This record gives sequence, C-alpha cells and structure tokens, in this order.
Amino acid sequence: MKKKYKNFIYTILIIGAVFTVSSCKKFVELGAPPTQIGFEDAFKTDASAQSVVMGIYTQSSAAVNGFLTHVTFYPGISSDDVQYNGIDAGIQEFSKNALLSTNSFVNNTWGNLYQPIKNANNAISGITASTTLTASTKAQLLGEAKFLRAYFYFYAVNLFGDVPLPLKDDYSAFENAALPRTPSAQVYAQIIKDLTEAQAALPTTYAGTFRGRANKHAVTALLARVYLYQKDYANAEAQATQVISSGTYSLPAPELAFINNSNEIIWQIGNTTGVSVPGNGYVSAAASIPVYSLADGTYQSFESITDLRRANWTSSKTLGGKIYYSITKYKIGSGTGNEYNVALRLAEQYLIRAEARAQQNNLSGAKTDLDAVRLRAGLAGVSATLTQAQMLSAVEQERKMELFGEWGHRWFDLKRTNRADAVLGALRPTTWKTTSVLYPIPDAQRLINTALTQNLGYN
Amino acid sequence: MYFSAQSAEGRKKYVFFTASSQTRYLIRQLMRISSIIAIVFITSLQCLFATEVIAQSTQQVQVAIELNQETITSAIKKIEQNSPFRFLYRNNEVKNLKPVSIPLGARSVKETLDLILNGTGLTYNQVGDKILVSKLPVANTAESVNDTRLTGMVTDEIGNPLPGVSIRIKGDKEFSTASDQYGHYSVNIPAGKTITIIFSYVGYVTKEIAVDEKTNSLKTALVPEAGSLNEVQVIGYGTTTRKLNTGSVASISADEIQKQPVGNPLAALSGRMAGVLIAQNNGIPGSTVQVQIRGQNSLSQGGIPLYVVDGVPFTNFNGGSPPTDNLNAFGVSGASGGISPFGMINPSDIERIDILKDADATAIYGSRGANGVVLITTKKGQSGRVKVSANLSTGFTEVGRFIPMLDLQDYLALRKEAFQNDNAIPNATTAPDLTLWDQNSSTDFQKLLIGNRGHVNDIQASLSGGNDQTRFFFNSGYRKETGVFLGDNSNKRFTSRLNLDHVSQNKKFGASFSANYSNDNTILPASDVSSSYNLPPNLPLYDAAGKLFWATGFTNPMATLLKKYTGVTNNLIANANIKYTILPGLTAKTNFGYTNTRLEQINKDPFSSQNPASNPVSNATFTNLNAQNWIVEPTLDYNRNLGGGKFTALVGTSFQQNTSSGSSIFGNNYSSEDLLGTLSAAGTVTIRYNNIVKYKYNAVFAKLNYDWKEKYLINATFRRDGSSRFGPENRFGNFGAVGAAWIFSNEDFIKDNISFLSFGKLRAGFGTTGNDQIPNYLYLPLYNPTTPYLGNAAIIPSGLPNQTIKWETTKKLDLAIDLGFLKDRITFTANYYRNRSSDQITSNAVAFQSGYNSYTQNLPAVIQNQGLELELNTTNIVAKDFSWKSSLNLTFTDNKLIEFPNLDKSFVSFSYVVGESINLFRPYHFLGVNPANGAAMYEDRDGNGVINTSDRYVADLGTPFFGGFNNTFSYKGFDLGIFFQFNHRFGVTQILNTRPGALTNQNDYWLDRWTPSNTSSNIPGSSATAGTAIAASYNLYTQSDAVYGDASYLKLRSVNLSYTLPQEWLKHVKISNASVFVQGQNLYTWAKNKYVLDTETTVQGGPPGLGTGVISQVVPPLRTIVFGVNCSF
Repeated sequence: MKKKYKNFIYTILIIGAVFTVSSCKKFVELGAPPTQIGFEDAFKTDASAQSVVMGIYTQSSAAVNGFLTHVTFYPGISSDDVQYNGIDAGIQEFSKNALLSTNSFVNNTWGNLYQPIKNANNAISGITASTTLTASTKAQLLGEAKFLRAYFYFYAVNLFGDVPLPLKDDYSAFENAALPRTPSAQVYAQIIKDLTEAQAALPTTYAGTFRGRANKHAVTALLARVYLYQKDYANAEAQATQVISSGTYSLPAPELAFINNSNEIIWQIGNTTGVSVPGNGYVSAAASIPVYSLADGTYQSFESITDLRRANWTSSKTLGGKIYYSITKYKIGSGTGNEYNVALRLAEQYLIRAEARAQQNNLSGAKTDLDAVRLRAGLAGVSATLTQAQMLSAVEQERKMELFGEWGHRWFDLKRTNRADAVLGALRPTTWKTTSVLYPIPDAQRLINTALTQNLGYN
Repeated sequence: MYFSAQSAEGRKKYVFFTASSQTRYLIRQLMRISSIIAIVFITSLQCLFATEVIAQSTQQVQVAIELNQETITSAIKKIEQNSPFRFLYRNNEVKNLKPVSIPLGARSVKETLDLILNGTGLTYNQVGDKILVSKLPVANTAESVNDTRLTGMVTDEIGNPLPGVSIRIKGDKEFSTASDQYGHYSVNIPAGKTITIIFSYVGYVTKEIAVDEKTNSLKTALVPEAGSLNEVQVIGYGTTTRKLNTGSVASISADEIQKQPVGNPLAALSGRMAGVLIAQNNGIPGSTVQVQIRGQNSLSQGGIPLYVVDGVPFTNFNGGSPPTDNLNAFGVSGASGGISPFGMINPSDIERIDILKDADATAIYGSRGANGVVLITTKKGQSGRVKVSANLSTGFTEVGRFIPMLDLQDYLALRKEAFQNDNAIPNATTAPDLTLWDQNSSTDFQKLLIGNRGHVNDIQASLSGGNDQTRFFFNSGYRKETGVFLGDNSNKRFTSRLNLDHVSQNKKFGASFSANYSNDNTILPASDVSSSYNLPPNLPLYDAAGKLFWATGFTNPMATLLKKYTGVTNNLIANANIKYTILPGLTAKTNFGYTNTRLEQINKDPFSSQNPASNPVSNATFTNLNAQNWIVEPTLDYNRNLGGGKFTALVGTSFQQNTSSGSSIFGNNYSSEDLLGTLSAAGTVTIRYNNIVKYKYNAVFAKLNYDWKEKYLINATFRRDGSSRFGPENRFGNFGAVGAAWIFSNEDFIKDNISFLSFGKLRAGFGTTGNDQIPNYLYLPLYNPTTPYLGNAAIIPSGLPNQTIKWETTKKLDLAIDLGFLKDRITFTANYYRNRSSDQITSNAVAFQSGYNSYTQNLPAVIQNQGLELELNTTNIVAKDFSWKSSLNLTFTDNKLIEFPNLDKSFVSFSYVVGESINLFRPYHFLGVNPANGAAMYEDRDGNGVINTSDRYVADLGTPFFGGFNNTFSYKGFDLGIFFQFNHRFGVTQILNTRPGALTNQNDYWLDRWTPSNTSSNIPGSSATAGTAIAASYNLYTQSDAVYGDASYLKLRSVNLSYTLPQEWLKHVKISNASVFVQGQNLYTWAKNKYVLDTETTVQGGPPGLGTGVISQVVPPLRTIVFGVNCSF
C-alpha cells in the first residue's frame, strides 16, 4: 500500500514539475502573423519604412468617402462653386450652410483627416527612432511624412478652426484622443514647421512614378499657400517664386492639364484605377443628372465664351427641362483611366504669387502672374491700369474661374478674405450665418472627448 | 441503499399502465427478475470502475461488531461502517426477518455474514467491494437429455459482465433465467431447432439473438437505453452516467440520429435537447447549422459552442474572427451561404452527441466553455464475430410550403390601382408589366426556381468486429443529394472512418486510433434564387429569339442560375489515444489529435449570365482555406475507495495549435467561359486577400470527484488556460467549478416512505468559464498590407492594440432536480440555470482625433441568460408486443443586459438598453391606415408631431420558449417515431422588399389592402410612384411592428417507421438483422406566419438573435422523405 502511495505522489510531483518547468508561457506566445508586421519591425528596413509612408498616401487616396471626397465636394457646395443635385439631407445641409453638429459627413471628414495624420505621426516617430535606416531614406521618408501631416492639418484647421493637434504615435493613442482643441495659430505654426523641415529634407526630384510622391517643390508649393492664408505675403511670394522659377513645371493646354503626365502637376495623389475622386463625382452618364455639377453662377461668370476653360473644363446638358453644367476637368468617371488626383498644380502658384504681389502693391508683377494663367485659358491679359483693390478682385475672380471644383479652394478663399458674408450671405440669405464659415465640431466626438469645445453658432 | 424491490409489491401499480391482461406474463417475468434488479442496477454502474477497484475478499477483512436484537439492516450498516464493503439488498427481503444477536468479537466479514444470514433463506455474493444479498437461487428445471447446452455471457457495452439480465426464449412462456454475477447463463437448445434468446434488462436495450445447436458459446453485449439512468454520458475528459452526473448534460444517441435523414448531424439535434437552440441557415445541402446553448452570452464576439470530436477540438474552423461554424470565412460562398464543417462528419459514424451546458460540466474546458461544449463520440468496434452492415436509402426532398403570392390578374389589378392612386398613367418606362409584357401568361417563380424535387441517395457500409483485445469499426458512406433549384445542383459526400481499439492481455495498456476522411463536392448556383420569388409574374424570361431577356431593374433569375459555385472540401480527422495503467487505479493517458480541413471554392461568373448592356466579361473567384489543428493532451486518472466512498481524480495538460490560411483570388477578363475553372486563363488576376492566422493554446486542468455511496456526489474542476489571443498581461486565466448532487432516493427514509419514487437527485453547480472567441492578435501593434501606392508596397496600422485584452467570463449557476417514478418508467428533470457573462469584449468608441474610431476592450457589461429546462420521459405502455414511450422537453429562456456602464457614450448606445434583451429591436408602432389616403400611420410616441427615430420602442426579438415532443411506438417488428418541435418567438412575419404597387409581386396579404373603395382596411394601399403619400409611408413600414410579430411555429420535424424482419426468416439467408424503413424530415409546419418560407432559417448578418427571422427569402429546410433497408450479416 505504502509503495503505491509513494508512486502516486512521485507521479504527481513529476507532472507538476513538467507543468512548471516546461513553462507553458512560451508555448502560447506568438509573434506577428506572416501576413502582418509588428510595429517596431516595420521601421527596420528602408523598404519597409517606405511602405509605411506609402500607406499614408494610400489611405488618403481612398476613392469613396475618403478624405478627397470630403474636401472636394462638401466645401465646394458650401460655397458658390459646386451644386449638389442629390437628395441626401445630410449633404444638403452643406449647400444650405445649415450644418448640424450631428451631421455624419462632418464627422467622417473629421475622421478622414485624422486617420492619415495618425499614420504620419506613427511614421515620423518610427522613422525618427529607427537606427537601421540609411540616412538618405530617413530624410526622404521623414520629409514626405511631415509634408503629409502638414497637408492634412492644413485642411483640418481651415475646415474646423481650432483643432486638436496630436503629434505623438499610437503608443500615446489615448493621450491623443483626450487632447483639447489647439488655437489655429499654433496649428499653423506646426504646419509651417513641418513644411520647413520637409523642404530641407526632400530633393527636387520625384521618387517613383509620376509625381505621386512629394518632392521639395510640392512642399514649397504648399508652403506658399500656407503663407498666403497666413497673410505672410512676402514669404508666400518667395515660396511661389521658387516653384515657378524652378523650370520644372509649365502650363499646358487646359484639356491636358489633369492628365497624368501633365507638366503642370506639382503633386498628384495616385490610386489603383487612374480615376480621380473629382472625376468620379463630376462625370456622369449622358442621360443622368450629375450628382455634383458646376454652380450656375460660376458658369455664367466666364467672361468670354472663348475662355478655353469653359470649353474644356465644363459641359452642359438639359435634363427634365433643367440645364446642368458638368465639371469636366477630369474626363473619366469610372472604370480605369489616366487621371490621378491633382492636389497641387502650377496655375495655383501663379495665382498665389499674383495675390501676394498685389497685396504688396506690386501690381505689375501681379498682372504678369495673372496673365500667365489667363493666357493659357485663351484670354487677353488684364488691364494694366487696375488699382490694388481691382487687382485683388481680379485675382479672386481668376481663382474662382481657374480652381472651381478643386479641393474647396473657393470656400477657403471666401473665408480667408472675409468675403463669405457678402457673397454667400447674398446667395442664401435665410440660412447663411457669419459663423457658417467653420464647420461644427462633430457631436459624436464631443461626446467621447469632453475636452472639445464647439464652434460659435453650433450647439 | 438506493433501490428496493417495490416492484414486486407494487404489482398493482402496473395495472395503471398495462393495456390488457396479456401483459400478465410480463409482470410475472418482472416479478421473477425483480430479485436481481437491485443487484443489476448498481453493478452495472460499477462496471465502469470495476477493473480499477482493489477488491479484498470477505475472508480477509476483519470486523469487530456486536449485535443485540438488531435488524439485519442495522447489522449490515455496522459492517459497512467498519469495512470497505457496501451492501446491496432488497428492503422487503430483509425487512421482516427476525432480529439477530451476536457477541462482540473480531471476525472476518464472511464469518459475520454467515452468522447473520444463517437460516434467513438469504445468501450473499461478493462482486468487487460490493456484497449482494439475495434469496437462495431456485433449482433449475429438469433438462432434456437430447438438448444442447449453450453457455453464454452477457456484458455491458464496454465488456464488463452484467449480472441479473433476464433471459427468455421467444415463444416459450415457461422458461426464464438470469445471468449470474459474472454475466454467465446457460440455455438448453432442443436438437435441430433454432431458438431466439431474448435478453432484457431495465435501462438497457432488449436484444434478441437466434441460436441453434451449432452455436457453442455466445457473448452478448447490451447497450444502455438512451435516456435511462444507466446511460453512459460522455463528459469532459471522461464519462459518467445519467444517474451519477453532477452536471447538466443533454445527450442524443446514434439511434435518434439515424432515424432522421439528415446530411448534417447537427440538424438532427433540433428540438431534441432542452436548452439547445438549433437554427439552420437554409435548406440547401451543405449549409450551416447554428447551435446556441443556453442563450447568447456575448455582445459581439463568437457565440458558438466548443465542438470536440473524440477528444479533438473541432472548432475555429476558418480562422475568421469572431469564429463562426462556417467554413467560408470571408464571405465567399454559393447559394448555401456557407459550408458547415459538420457536413464533413457522417451522421452514421456518430455513436452519441453530448452537450455540456452548466459550469460543472464545462469549466474543465476553461476559457472555451462559456458557450457550452458539444462532444461528438464516434462508433467503436464491438468484439465478436465480424459484422457487416449495410444501409441503403433513397428518397426525395422538396420545399415544404410556398408563399401564397398574387396571381397575374390580382397583380395587374394591384399595379393599375397603384397608378390610379397616384393619378399617374403607366407608360413603358414606369410599367412595362402593364404596357409591354404579356397580360395573360405568367410564371410561378417559386415553383420554377425552387419547386423542383431533389433526390437523396445514401449508402453506408460498415465492418466491425474483433476480440477481447482488439476491436475495429470501419464505415464508409456515400451520400448524394440534389437540390431543389432549377438546373444541376448537388452535394456529394464520401466519408470513411476507421476506429481501432486495442488493450493488452493484462488490460494495463490500451490504445485506440481513429481516422476519418471525407470529401465533399458541392455544385450550386452562386446565389440563392429563392429571393426572386416576388418577380412580376409576367416578367419575360426569354425574348422572341430565345435569348435571355433583360429588363431594366431586373436580374433574370435564369441568368443567375448560370453562375455556378463549386466547393470541394477535404477533411481529415486523425486521433490516437494511448493509456497505461501504472498502478491499480492510476492510469496515464495521452490523446493526440490532428485535423486538416481544406476548402477550395470557385465562383464562376460567365459572360452569358450577365446583362449584355453592361459590357460584361467573364470572371471567376477562387477562394481557398486550409486549416490545421493539432492537440496533445496527457492526463492522469486516479481512483480509489476512500472513507466508504469512491474518489476519482484527474489532472492533465493540453497543448493545441491552429493554423489557418485563406486566400481569395479574382480572375477577370477571361477569353472563354469554358476556361473559368482555371486561373491561368484569366486576363487579369487580383489577390483579394491572403490571411494566415495562428492560434496557440495551453492549459492545465484537474478534476476531483467523490461519490459517497451513491448518495452524495461532489465534483470540483479547475483549469488554468493560456491563449495566444491575449496580451502578455492577461494571457493566463483560471476557471473552475463545483458541482454537487444528492441522490435522496438512496436514503432509507425515502425508500421506506415514498415507494413510487424510484429515483431522486438534487444537484447544483456553480463556476466560471470563459470565451476566447475573439480575433487573434488584438494585443499586438501591427501593420497590415494595403493597396500599393503607385507600384510601391504600402502598409497601414491594423488597429489600436489592447495589451490588456482578456476573455469574456461567464459565471454559471445551475440547480436541478431529477426524479424517477415507478421504476423509472417516468423520469422528470427540472433545471434552472443562470449565466452571467461579463468582461464583454466590444468595440468601444474612441475620439477620432486619435486616428481610430474604435478600440476593442473588455467592458464590465453583464449579460444574463436564465432559463428553466423541463424534460419528461415516460414509458406509457409496455405490453408483450407493444410499447409506447414519450418524451417532452421544454425550455424557457430569458436574456437580459443587466449592466453596461457608459452605454450612452458607446457605439452601441442605439443597439442596447440595460434591462432588455440584447436581441432587441426598435420598431415604430404601426397604427393602421389613414382611411383618407391609404397611407400607413405610425405612433408619434414623443408627441412632437413628426415621426422620427425617437418614436421607436424597444421590442425583444427572441424565443421565450421552445421544445420538442417525441413519441415512439413499437409493435412486434414495427417501430414508429413521431417527433414534433415547437418554437414560440417574436420575429419577422412579412418580408416586404418593395412597397405594393411597385414593379414587384406581393403575397396575398395585400388582397385586402386599402383602396379608395375599401377605406376601412388595416393594410396600407398601393402606390407605383416614389414620393406619394402612400409610398412615403412605406419607408418606415419594414421598421415597424407591422412586419414583426408572433413567428411561432410547430413542426412535424420527423417521422420514422421501420419494420425489423423476424429473425426466423433471416436465419436461412445468413442475415442476422434486417429492417426496412421510411423516414421523413421537416414534414409539415404549422406557423402563424405564412408569408415567410420558413421562420426557422437564420441568415448570418440578419436580425440579431438566433432564429429570430430572415432578411431575405432563402430555401427553407427541406421536406425529406426516404425509403431504405438496413441489414447486417
């Protein structure tokens, strides 16, 4: 009997020992699956770190309901630029300048801005910390990531005013999630800081195919725009000059401006299909009403029927007794094509410099730049006798006719020049409010992050 | 002691049940064998442990007792207190005996007993540590000299001798004997004659065997009757009996499964188990069957039970997350919507299925036991002559009922009226059905598309046999089931299984191996065309040239049928189990298991099936899955007698790994439709996804069980689990449970006073289990590959990792009473359970400025599932040739969210309400029809003048009670089973795809709709044009209680009739057993709701809650009727 007990106890002991010694902890540890890569590992090699930065581009180019959709159409219809012909009540709120803070499109816009910002933050933090990347790759990738972060913050601050400014990576995700809004001046300061650093880091050549990845000129072009918005006209002029005089870009005929190999393009956001987001939204089948079309007022503002932009960038059709003016800058609306999203182009740089020069009372300089854009459109130059105010007004008009349907330019122009009340107040007297220039901070976000305050005019 | 022979005294009580005086014979037999029944009952239970028990002889064990004019009972008690022996005796045999006295002194037990029993007419026998006290045997009747004497042995299903089995000879009313304690008996066989020996024993299936003088020895194994207290139930890492189980287990045996002509064994469980809700996704062969045990425990994670086939987990099939019991992980499937992994298991291979429900039974499975555990045990070989069995059946399937639709004239009238209501004139654009298409000829789309008869052919052949040491079972089956869709569609399955058992001569070493291979081929339309049931009846299918007709806004269902899906599944389950008895009572076992499932699917989308107007190209999607799973589980079992009771202990550890890889590749621009089966002919190839997922799992577990004289039972389990799905901080977790039972019918005060109560057990269990059915890698910060950017590879963060993620925990409480009356002719179980599941893993909102809008975390939300399960089994009539048995089960369920902190800030604030079921639905309240314009009206609950989302109320979509009612009759060779299933619930009652009046047919509910001349109707009117008042009022219609309601049903789920050919006939053709049968499944449904093909179907992604409705029409579970023969040689 006793021996049996002994054996039993031994067996139990052996088994117990096996359990503890074999350290089952090891057994259930698993690394990243073969189809994914761990956070730290992603920044170990040049190629992998590059794929992280490519991911930022990819995520911002998502075709449907992505960032590009949100900054193309909604600010467009908020201003007098684009007309919405659909029936979605949420989108109609934009075209009435009567947004509710519960509007789901505003909430999505917010999210679509911060998603690539998060990716950029992760990339900047991971690349900075990595000790295994080659110096040139590190500089290139950091430059691109900072440029992208600045690009998205530019839209955030212009659409919403003061916005939270998370700059840390995912390890601080909850800290990021709890941040209050940062005054817009500080957001701009960060944008300028990122762009200045990116400008120093990036070469003037483009990496990869087409002009899909930011180079030094793309950074400079965005910086010119940022300075203009900041009313820092000297710097705006200086930056725009760098781009214009680089000799890299030229103004092709309007019908060629948006095609992939157009020499006007400073930065294009690529995708897999070659069909751009504006093309997808503006181009419609012959017998159907375009969801988004050019506002009648803008079409009627073409000063001449010989304006090549009217001929090449618009078309009209009559459906159900109503005329719709389509925006045809991009020709392809579905399937596959050769048009990526042209985010920065040379004409804007001329217009930036024209405005900066006019503001600095360099009217002849302003006329030269304005005429460069008009010449390409087949128009005569502006009068040489314009006053400063007239010149600024001419610049505003030219921006409207050149940049219509693109990335909310008109909405931001009216806002930054304090012309929104006059122009949109007249257009929509019943629903326009001075506070409409900023979109509301989404309710859903304020519910989760109670530190977020609301913009004036919303509750 | 647990049983006394009231049966003999209670003779009159049988009259209550007996049908006629013909049963006297039986009663006499019962009386005769009653003296042994008590012995038999207990010994059979002990058989399980008999080999391990260290028995000592009555001569060796000394006891020192003194008796002073005491009863025999009291004397026996004293011996029990002082020795390891336990006594079995019949109360009435010892009750009236004279008191005995013996002086104090040390004697052996044998001596003591000889003293006590001297002159009482009683004798005793020792079996292990049991001492059976019984009357002296009656001398045998004289034998004829010419007879051959056959000696035989009766055993239970695992080969242990079965004493006390009643042995009779068919047609001989005089002869009767019983097996002795070694299971031995002898029978005289008259020269030149064949006799049929009938073995019968309470709780076991009666067996008849024909023998003649050439038969020289016979070993017969009896199997416990399903549902009897002796029925061996499989539980986690062991077995128990229904009688001694401290946990809550529902079981179904091969017998019940095989009576149903189902392809998927899970479909055979429907309605037969209390607390288990089964829903078929649809009736298409191969489709998924969902099993939910005691309610939904998780808000958003996996709710499927853990499936274990012969000890090998058969779950996490697809690597998808949360795991589903569907092999098509990533949404690519044919019309069936998914392939059930259980389609790979041949129902004929299954010996039994045990479903573990409460904490006591499931805690041994730790973090995987929360949703219950389904244990599938396959058939093993039986020693004896090699037996060849074959089962052939053939039959048909069809849709059992159709939705009554409007006929063409009623439909056209509806359309015309709709235009009148709108003040519009139909034209070729708005109403081709009124202006262009034939006004007289119509198509019944239901009959055309799903009204065909499918055919089922099933062939099974098995070979089994072996000797005392080695046994084998081999079964091969082929089943072909064609579908009800128009055109060629079928499911073909070939399965083979080999089970091999071996024990060494000294019984110390044992090994068993099994291998199961199955191959399944499914050819189906790529989508379920039953959703085309409401096409306009006069929609042309072909144009004048005989080509497919394409109307604007319609997909031609004949074209849909040209899109084919093929799915080929190969499945291997291999398993080895080795055991060695180190010391008496101490056994080491190791279980090795390996499963490999491969699924290869092709979805073909040929040019010819697409509308030529949209410049179609032929394309095909190739989706593959390869899942592998291995497990090693060493365990150590120990059992011994301790303190007069039986102590059992088990410790073990488990290592498991799952690897699953899946890919989907899209081939486009094929030059020829004929080449759609190969990727190499594709013009362009796109990889849709490629997932590789690993899962590792490790556990240590222990179980202690103590059984004190079959009166008091206690069972404690503990498991420490580690799962790779959790972060380092919470990778390991502890689970445990305690269960206890009191068999009060074994108490003397019950036995003496409540004679009609033959069995009574109270049991209770409490413990915790977990749910680890969550996505893998939630805790790791990872980058996922994404769409390349201009030719450069790109990756993006996969999500916000949660280092502290851990399993959901379910605390289970279980209280039950099991009762048996009149020698268990009536058994009743009432079981109350309450499961509380917390640490719910949910996606929670996080401020989007972090770059993420959700974060997966454990929330202290608590879901409560409580319910009452009632089971009643009765043997209504037992007569000589006729018997009638019934069983009824009924389950009441209640699901409630009892806690959810900060619900208002979460994503799901609109989905849940604290205090309500998690399967809630928020309908508008339909008020009826505005008599003035025919528009539907809804209640403005907040009174603000507009109908908006705040006017919705909370309704519980669910099943408050469900159950099944089974009756089996047998008369001579005939067996008849009739099974009804019922389900009371709130669910979808109408599927309204488009408002009446639009270019869609409607069911005949709309015949009584509002019209300008029938303004008092409660059914809204028709409108053909969007934007009219009537049309607008339909926008909320499908979100209102107009289409939800009582979706209860009663189904005649299965009927089977079989006739076993008499042995005498078969002997001459060397067939040992033959029967012919007819079986029917899903024969008829009585439902309150006639506008849904079958309310039982649950489409994944449909309304929450299992079996609460459908979001679109799908092929219902099919009426199946088969005829067949079964014979064994």
